[in-house]
Parts: sequence; structure tokens; C-alpha cells
Amino acid sequence: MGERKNVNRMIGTLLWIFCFLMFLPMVFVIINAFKTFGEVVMDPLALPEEWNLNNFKEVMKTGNYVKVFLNTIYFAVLSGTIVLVLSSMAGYKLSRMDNRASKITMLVFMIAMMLPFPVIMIPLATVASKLNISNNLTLVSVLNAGFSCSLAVVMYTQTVRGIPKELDECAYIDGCNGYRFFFSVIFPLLKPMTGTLSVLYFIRYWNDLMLPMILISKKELYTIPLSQLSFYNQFTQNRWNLLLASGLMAIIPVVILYIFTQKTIISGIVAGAVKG
Amino acid sequence: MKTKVKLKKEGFDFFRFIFPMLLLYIIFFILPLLQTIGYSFTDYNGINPTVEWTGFNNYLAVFKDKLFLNSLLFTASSALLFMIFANTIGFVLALALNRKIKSKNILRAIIFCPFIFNNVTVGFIWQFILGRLMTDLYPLTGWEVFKIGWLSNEKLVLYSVVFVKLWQTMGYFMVIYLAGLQMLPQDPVEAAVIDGCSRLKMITHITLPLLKPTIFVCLFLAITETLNMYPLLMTLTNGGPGHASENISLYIYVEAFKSHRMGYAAAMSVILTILILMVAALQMRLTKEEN
Repeated sequence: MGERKNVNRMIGTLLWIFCFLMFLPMVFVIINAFKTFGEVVMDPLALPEEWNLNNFKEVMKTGNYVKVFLNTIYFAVLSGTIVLVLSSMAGYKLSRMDNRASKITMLVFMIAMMLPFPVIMIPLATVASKLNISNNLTLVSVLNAGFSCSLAVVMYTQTVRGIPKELDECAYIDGCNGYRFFFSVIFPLLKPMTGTLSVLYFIRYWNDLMLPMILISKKELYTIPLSQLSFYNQFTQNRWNLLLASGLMAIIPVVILYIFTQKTIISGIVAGAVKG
Repeated sequence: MKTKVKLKKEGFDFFRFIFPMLLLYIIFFILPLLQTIGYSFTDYNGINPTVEWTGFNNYLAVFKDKLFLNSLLFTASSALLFMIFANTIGFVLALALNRKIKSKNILRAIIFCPFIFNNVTVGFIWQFILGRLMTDLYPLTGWEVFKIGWLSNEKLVLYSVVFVKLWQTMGYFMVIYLAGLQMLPQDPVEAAVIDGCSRLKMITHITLPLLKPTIFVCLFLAITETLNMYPLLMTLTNGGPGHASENISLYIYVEAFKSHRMGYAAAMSVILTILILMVAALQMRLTKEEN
């Protein structure tokens, strides 16, 4: 038994070394995000002469970061809300109905999980510009919700299966109106799944580059990844101090969210992967 | 009578509950997908309103296009490499974390963490490390590894890209394998322990065969992950040097939105869709056979 404990301790140490090596690059990223451009060019390995937030301030100013930040939150929260409300409704009825129509609908919903975005990108851009969706964050969010709902529909359908059918029948006999019954009885029961999905979708939308890239061209509507990319294309010689600072600013909010909800995120992602 | 009422009610419910999401999904996913097929037979360029029907010309041109074949080759080789390494590393890490290790929750969280970073940032980080920082490490250490242009060498860029993608996603594969391991039935394992089975034999003869469903899922996910890595490629290498790291998704994007050959890009999208559906069908069949 003692031998086994030693083996476990050794594996634990190895894993810590592995993590350390894995995050070693991040140390250099952080160091260089605090340097001046001259310092990065001269010696990327050295520590900055003075630790200050100048790079971050410059990114905020030139990238109009406050606006960009708010845009991203608006885009992520609005798309997420639409997806969660409509997919929970759809998932509820899909799991209750047991006929061909519902099975086919389910299959149709699942197609999107397999195909990469470029497959629909061209018509999407055309349709969006014809319907004046481009450069309107609200409508872009609606579009975004429509094409990314698959995971939520599948996960909600699975979850509703665990809620007894008798509950519906009681309400039916009582003459309870469908929507009211759903939102006052079923939706609260789905809370854990809603929590998981809202975090997953928030991260996904926060990080999304491609959809905003083809639908948003106005600078004042940029989301974070878009503004990072335009920052990157702006200089011929990469201003590493600013790019790395902008990178850190983009991931810090998600990392903070991750620290508090990592168990939910991981179990949600595993469930989504296995079911998809 | 009763069934008729029930059917009517179901139809009404379908309309009220499922239809709103389905409608958005159809407008913004299914219709564009079908439209892609339509565009693939035209010379649509996104600007000119007069679109001409060109039949199978785009498809014929695609197969003669060296850059398309190049991107297909890059996609296939990166998918294969990534599939092997992501699954091996993910599985080994999961095996290690499945033991009684004190800080395993923290370790799991740390290894998984890069998966939530956005692709643009991951591209920045590694372009900086591989393209900038490494050149300064060579004079200090004298190690040949740092002398190589990992992102500027046409042959090596494939490995660099797969490496970065692994750094970002190995935690993802690890947590899926870990969940698979934790769901395994305990009886065969206990029986094997009683029989005095060796550790390695237990993994190859008991764990791996039982884990087959998870392995299939992970193999398929590895393919989807490589197809979806074009935002990372954009900031890491932008397809370069030359076209050495251009995968098919990135090539479709470039053709559609930079060269404005949308009809042509649509034809490539259709081919890609068919390829993916073939792989998906294969995966589904294998999974079904297992059950």
C-alpha cells in the first residue's frame, strides 16, 4: 500500500511540472505585456524596467476598449438569452413528443454541431447584408442565436426527460395555460442546466471571431476578438507589448469566470461533447 | 376521436414551443446551407448582382486547383497528427488524474484552462513565443531547438500549428477521457486485480476496449477541432509561410472574402460538407456496432 502512495505522489509531482511547463509561456507573455516596445525589441527575456499599466491604457484608448467591451457583453448576453429561452421551450416539447416529426426535428437541429462555420458563411453574409442585419448588433445577436442553438436544444431535451410527465398532465387537467405552466413550473426545474449552458454560451460568444468578422464592419460595433485582430493588422511590425496586453485583457474576464465556475464549465463541456 | 384531439394539441404545441427556435435555426443555418449548394453552381462574387449559372465548372476547377489540394493535404495531415497526439496525451493525462492524487482538481482545472482562451489571443501568444522569443533564447543556451524557425519553415509549420492546438485543447480531451474512465464498470477491474493482472495489461485489455465509445467521440472531435482551427491560424501564421499552413476552412474564407470568388468558395464548402458527413456517418455506424 505504501508503495502505491509513493507512485501517486510521484505522478502528482510530474503533473505539477507538466503544468508549470505548460504555463511557462504565459510568464513571458505577462512580463512582455508590461514592457515598452523598445524593451521588447531589445530583450524579450528581461524583466521590465518599470512595472506600469501604460500598455493596457494605450490598448484601451486606441482600441476604444470600453465600448468594445460593452459591445461584446451585449452581443454575448443577448444571443445567450435568446438561445436559452427558445431552446428550453423547444427542448421541453421535443422530449415530450414521441413521434416522427419530433425525431426528424431533433436530427435537423443536430446537423449544425458537425459542420464548421465556413460551410454557411457565404450565404449568411449575403442574407445579412440584404436584410440589413450587418452592422446592427441586436440583429446580429438574433442571427447568432439562430445558428448556434443546437447544443442547447440537445442538452435541454436530455434534461427534460428527467422531469416526470405527470407534472404536465396535472397542469393540463387544471387548465393551466401552456407558456405560463412552462415558465412557472418547468423552467425553474431546468435551472442547473440553464446555469451550465449560460456559462458555456457566454464563453463561446465572448471568444467568437468569425461571425462578427463577416457581419460587422463598423469600428464602433467591434467585439473584443475583432478589435484585437484589427490591432494586429494595423502595424507592419508587430507591437508585441500592445498585442500581448490586449490578449491578456481579452482572456482575464473569462479566466475570472472560469475560476468560479470551473466545475460547471468542465462538466458541461464534457456532456456537450459526448452527446454531440 | 381522442387521438385526433391529441394530435391537434401536439401540432399546436409544436407550433408554440418548438417553432420559434426552429424558425431562427432554419433561416440562419439550414437555408444558408442549402444556398451554399446553390451558389456553388454559379459565378457569384458577392458584388455583381447579375449571377450566372455555370454548372459544374466550379467543381471541375476545384479539383484542378493546386492550392485547394494543398489545403486539403494540410487539413488531412494536421487532423491525423492532432488526432494521434490529442488522444494519446488526453488519455495518459486522464489515467494519471484518475488516481488518488491530492491536488487533482486543481491540476485538472489548470490543464483545461487554455481551452477557454480565445483563438486570437492564443495566436498572439505563440507567434510571440515561437517567432520572437525563441530567437533570443538561442544565443543564451546554444540549443538547436531555438535556432529553428518553427513558424517560418514550410515543413515545420505543420508541427508547430498542431503543437499550439494541442497546448490549447489537450485539457479538453483529458476531461472527456476522465469522464469516460469514471463511468467504467468497476467489476472487470476488480476481477483483474484479484487475478493479479499487471497494470499495463489492465489498460490494454480492459480499460481501452471498455472505453471504445469515448475513443470514437474523441477521434471525431479531433477532426472537428482541426477543421475549426482557422481563427487560430489567422493570427498564428495567417496560412503562411506561403500557403504552407492554410487549412481548408481558412482557404474557403480567403477565397470568399478576400478574393471575392464566392461561387467557387461555395463549391469547396459543399465538398467539405460531404467529406464531414461521410466521416460522421462512419462514426455513427461504428458506435452503433459497438452497442
